[in-house]
Amino acid sequence: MSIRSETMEQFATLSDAFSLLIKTLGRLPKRECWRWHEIFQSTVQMGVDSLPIITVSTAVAGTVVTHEIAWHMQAALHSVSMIPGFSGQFIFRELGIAIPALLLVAKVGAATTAEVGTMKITEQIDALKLLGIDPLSYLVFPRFIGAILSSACLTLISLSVTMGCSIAVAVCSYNFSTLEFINALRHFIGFKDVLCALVKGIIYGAVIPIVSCAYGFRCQGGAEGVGTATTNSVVTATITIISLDFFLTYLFTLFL
Amino acid sequence: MKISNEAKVGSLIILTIGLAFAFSWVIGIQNPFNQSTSFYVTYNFAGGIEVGSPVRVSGIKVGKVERIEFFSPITSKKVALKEPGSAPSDEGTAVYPLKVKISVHKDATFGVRQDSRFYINLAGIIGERYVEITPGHIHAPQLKEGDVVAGVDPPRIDQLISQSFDLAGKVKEIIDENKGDITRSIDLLYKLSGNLNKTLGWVDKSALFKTDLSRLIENLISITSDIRKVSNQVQTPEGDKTLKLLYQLLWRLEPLDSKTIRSFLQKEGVKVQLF
Repeated sequence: MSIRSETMEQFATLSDAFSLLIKTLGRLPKRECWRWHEIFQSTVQMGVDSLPIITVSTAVAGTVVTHEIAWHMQAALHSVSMIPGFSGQFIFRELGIAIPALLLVAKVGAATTAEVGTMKITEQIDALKLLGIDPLSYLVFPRFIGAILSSACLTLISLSVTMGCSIAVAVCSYNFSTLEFINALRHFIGFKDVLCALVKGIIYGAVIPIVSCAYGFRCQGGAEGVGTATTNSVVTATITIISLDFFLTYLFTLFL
Repeated sequence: MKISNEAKVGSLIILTIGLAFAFSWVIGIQNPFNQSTSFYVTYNFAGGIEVGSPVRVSGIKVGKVERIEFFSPITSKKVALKEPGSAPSDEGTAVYPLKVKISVHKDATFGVRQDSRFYINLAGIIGERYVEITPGHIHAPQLKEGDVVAGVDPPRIDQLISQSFDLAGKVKEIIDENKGDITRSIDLLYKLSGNLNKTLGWVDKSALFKTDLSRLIENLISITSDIRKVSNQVQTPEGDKTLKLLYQLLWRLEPLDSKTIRSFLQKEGVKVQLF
């Protein structure tokens, strides 16, 4: 496949993803679309089952980041008194939000694309249509709601785990007390930071199932096609999240 | 035991809500145990104070800046827009463009009174700003919820730099205008210090000064010790009494002159050829 046709294919998929988002949002007020069993199932798959990997990853990230910040502060300022402020802002603005989102893309996004793609190439989606079931309401909407719910919860959990590890490092290695750390943190972190983190988490959670399902719905060509669609889905969702992170951060600095 | 999806999702949501409350407490959005009083402090120049900046009473953090807004003078009776300690004026009010809402913990509000002063200070290595409240006088009324008081504007570094730049310019002008005089004065000072140095060296080497000077110092020491003894004796009750008597005697003798003494002696019939 030439670069031109591949680029066109990517743009077509992104366009599909956008129309899928609009259609999914259009189903929000429809009561029959709220299939609670499927929504809970998606939430468990995306949220509860992702808890261990997200907890471990963010804990390690928090530890490393605090050590790094302390090292740089010691080198540049010969003082580590600002660890709470710097690490807190970095965790609340980027680290504690981006890491769970990217992990969700890798774990949940890939699984969703593979599942929907397999259903597409085995004509299960056509079967659903024949049975009079709207594939969007049955496959996409529960995942969309589940991903938003899971992402919001996981963002808060990852923030607390990362901050907890940061506090632990500051207390164990840099002679801070927990209260001292929290007091210093209060000067730098406010309501708007938590709000921004939650909004970002919700938006990233909405992006993942939409991009994954769009790639799944366009899947063709057997097992190889499923593999390609999964790879492309993960790459696109990752780039989308990183780009959105830039735009959202810029917007929040403008309005909050 | 198999846990249902509903239970898992419920647990996840409960955990998240709990964490949200914990966060709100940690970052000071919501504290169920917090009881604070809010009032307004007005400034002409806020000097970089921000929402969330700490408020301290006697150096202890007791609150934070809740809100900063531009302000038009209000006519409420609660307003005391005169900086504590400033000169009295007929109006007693002034236009302060900034109004800073601060919250202070209830335990610390006892010391925050109408004559308390509200400074904007710098702290920390990155220069974070905070509001420092000095406790007021016990007789001054205590500030209540919603009261408005005038704060002490922080010094403006930009103005100081500008003024010092002007001062440096003027000093340079004076130096340029009196260059000859200043050079001459420096030369004279140089010569003077040289002469003084020579004189001191001569004094140091002179045998005469060594002997006479030491004798002079010994005498001075003995004189001062004598004076100390005398003054010690005078400071006794007897000495005090003697001094009082002497004072009374002098007071009585003051109006006496030759005429008075002569008339006294004539009255007494003393016939002497003294006068």
